[in-house]
Amino acid sequence: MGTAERMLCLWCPDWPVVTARRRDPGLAGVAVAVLERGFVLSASSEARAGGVQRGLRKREAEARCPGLVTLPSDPAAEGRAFEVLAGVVEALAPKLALERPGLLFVPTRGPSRYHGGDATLAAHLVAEAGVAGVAEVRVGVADGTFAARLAARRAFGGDAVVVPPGGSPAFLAPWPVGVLDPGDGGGAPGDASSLCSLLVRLGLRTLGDFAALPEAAVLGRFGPTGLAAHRRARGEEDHPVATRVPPPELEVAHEFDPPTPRVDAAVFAGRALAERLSTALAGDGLACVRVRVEAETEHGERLARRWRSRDGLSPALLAERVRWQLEAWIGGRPRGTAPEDTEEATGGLSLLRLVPEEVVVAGRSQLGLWGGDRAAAERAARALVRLQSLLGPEAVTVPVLRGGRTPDERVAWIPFGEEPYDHRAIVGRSGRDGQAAPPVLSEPWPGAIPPPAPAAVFRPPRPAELFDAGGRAVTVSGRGEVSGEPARLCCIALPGGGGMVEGWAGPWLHDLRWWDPSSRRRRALWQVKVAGGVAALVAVEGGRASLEALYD
Amino acid sequence: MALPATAQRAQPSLVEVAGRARPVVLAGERRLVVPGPVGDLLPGGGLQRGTVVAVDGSAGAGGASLVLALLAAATAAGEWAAVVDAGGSFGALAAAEAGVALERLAVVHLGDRGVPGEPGGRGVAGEPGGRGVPGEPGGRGVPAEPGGRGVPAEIVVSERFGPVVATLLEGMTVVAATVPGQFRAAEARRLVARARERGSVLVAAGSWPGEAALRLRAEGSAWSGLGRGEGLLGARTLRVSVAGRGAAARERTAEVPLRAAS
Repeated sequence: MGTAERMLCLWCPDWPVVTARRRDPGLAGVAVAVLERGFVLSASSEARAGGVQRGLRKREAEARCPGLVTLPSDPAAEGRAFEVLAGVVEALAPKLALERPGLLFVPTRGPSRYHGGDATLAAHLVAEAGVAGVAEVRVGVADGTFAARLAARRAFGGDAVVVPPGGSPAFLAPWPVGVLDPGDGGGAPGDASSLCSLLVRLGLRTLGDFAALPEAAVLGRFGPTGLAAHRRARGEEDHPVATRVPPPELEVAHEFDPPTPRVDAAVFAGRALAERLSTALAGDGLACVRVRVEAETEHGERLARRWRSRDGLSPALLAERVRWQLEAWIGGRPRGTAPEDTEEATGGLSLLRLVPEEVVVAGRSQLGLWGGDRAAAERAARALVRLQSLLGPEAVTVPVLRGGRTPDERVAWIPFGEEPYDHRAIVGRSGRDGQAAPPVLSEPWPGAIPPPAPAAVFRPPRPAELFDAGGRAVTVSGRGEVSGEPARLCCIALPGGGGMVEGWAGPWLHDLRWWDPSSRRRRALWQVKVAGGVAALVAVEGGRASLEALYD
Repeated sequence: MALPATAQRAQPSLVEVAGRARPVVLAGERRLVVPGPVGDLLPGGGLQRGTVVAVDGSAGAGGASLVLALLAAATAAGEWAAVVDAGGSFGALAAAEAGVALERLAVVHLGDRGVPGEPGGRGVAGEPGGRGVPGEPGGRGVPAEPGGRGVPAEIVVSERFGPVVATLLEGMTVVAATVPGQFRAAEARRLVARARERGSVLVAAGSWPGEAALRLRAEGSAWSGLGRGEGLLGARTLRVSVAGRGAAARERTAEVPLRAAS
């Protein structure tokens, strides 16, 4: 008991909305929702009053709250905006660690003594945040990060909630067990939410009930996930506090020569570093729960910021945090948000370093990026990351299937290492990194070309000529009437330059974007078999034929 | 050399003992088993690791489908595979239909084009015109700047091809690559050595100037199901000739039915 460090939690509710409003003051007082992948990520209080909740679909949110303004989420801008607040906090209390934009933790032992108590420190922070232009911050102080987080949740109206030292177990006891499920981006939610529902079904409704169970029994019944939750419910840290200070050789660094002012180059190096650090730690059977991101600029400035994650920073999570931090540092001044600002960064980055500050034994943290054979996946990832550094990130891709009509439309090329997401439905690929799979929307695609799919898809299509028996080019009228039956196909991509048509199917008529005259496209496609057993997919658009694909 | 009579009598049992005593699988003999009719073509029913397989055939004859079948076998076994898409025409949907696990497949686009543009989607190459190597340019044997403006794309592709394939062979079990026209035999030898050293398989499509343990050639295919204005493309039978070393030294031709997509 009493092993948890005294922590202050500073939480800005709905940070994505706050960021959007800082950028566009016209959004103040309007119902706003920030979306991620078509689902509500964060909603303003006005929107919540209208019934908009986190996790709703965009269409449903708009139906519940007419006049709702929806915006796409922009983690880079959120990170940049929060960096301002982190700077304010750091001036009062060092050693802060960010969990995500909008949420940070500070150990209070030193600063509280300096400022004259937890309550005074918290009041100072709220006041300084107000000066920095952030109206709603909630501050909670308690023993342990979990209790501090809940205390901050309870801190309405600007006053900090301070749980007295040793009072965390009593403070936590009446909370429902549902709060053990992070649900707001704090790691692997699947395990915790199933644990919560199981506890409720077992009749353990509050944290107090759960905490009263003997620890050994919890471990035996619920495994390591349950044990961590139990420790949290008792007001202790997830991991025993005997944190190992990692040896210095585990830190990884990248020198930029020449120094780079470009965010993308820095972010790319950061991703490779994150990968290297995770691999090195995994080799020792460790996982990182707190990391210090350090950078030096060519002018000799040194920047450092800590990031933490309760469930261990997987390579993907770590890379994401490094990206947020780099965007915050060199992604431009707070005054602007346009990407052109990147060129205006004063000093280029000369060094980037990742220092693991707190590591735990990696039994629970799954470090596999893609599942399957971890060693093979890591070997493959190293080769691919190296290629990306040679050819550029976009040149190395992972194909992802999605909805569409033609074989070309049905594939999205996602740069390796990025999350596959798209406003169109993504099918046939499960989520990575323990996240739930994106929703599978199998909308009907009228006129979709039936299988088999062609093994060679030309991007862009190769010019071709399709003639009817009379030697005239085959055309399609506005009403979809075909001028003649295909009889001869000519294209340089075909062996012998083409030949007589032996069989065909179609046409499939596609009228795309008919609602928008400027981008409307009409095309007709045929499956065509020419002499010699060569089958191809031919499109006619605007009176011009082209070879879309070859059934090679 | 004539053996003494007793030794000759002992030989069969010696061979038998040697067979029992050797390791179950020698590292060099590990095979990627290729299921289905394509596997029946291959000596030992699969791809021997550490070798090069050359796949050839005129456009539309079925070479690409053969490559997909080999990739499918590798990814289905949990291995990673990569495709070097020099021509920019890899059909990922067909790959998925052939049974390739797309989550273990990476496609490397060579040349200036980067990612093919897609309407309204993400992942469009940020920098067309090939100016972007934001990471660490220079110094690893690959021209970091793709030749700037004046150099034709084919030359950029053929210069990059060797180093890119060599890098992929380090990490991937199977690398399928379309060999550019000007690729030289000396570089091909280097890739053969790399594949042998790493125990990975290079599937070289097109005219491979180096040695190959196995040469597959798609001679053509017969389609069923498609008539004049009726029916759809359906089942397909590929005619494939196989030549190689060792067990496959004698060239033979076989008909391979490819399953109709379900």
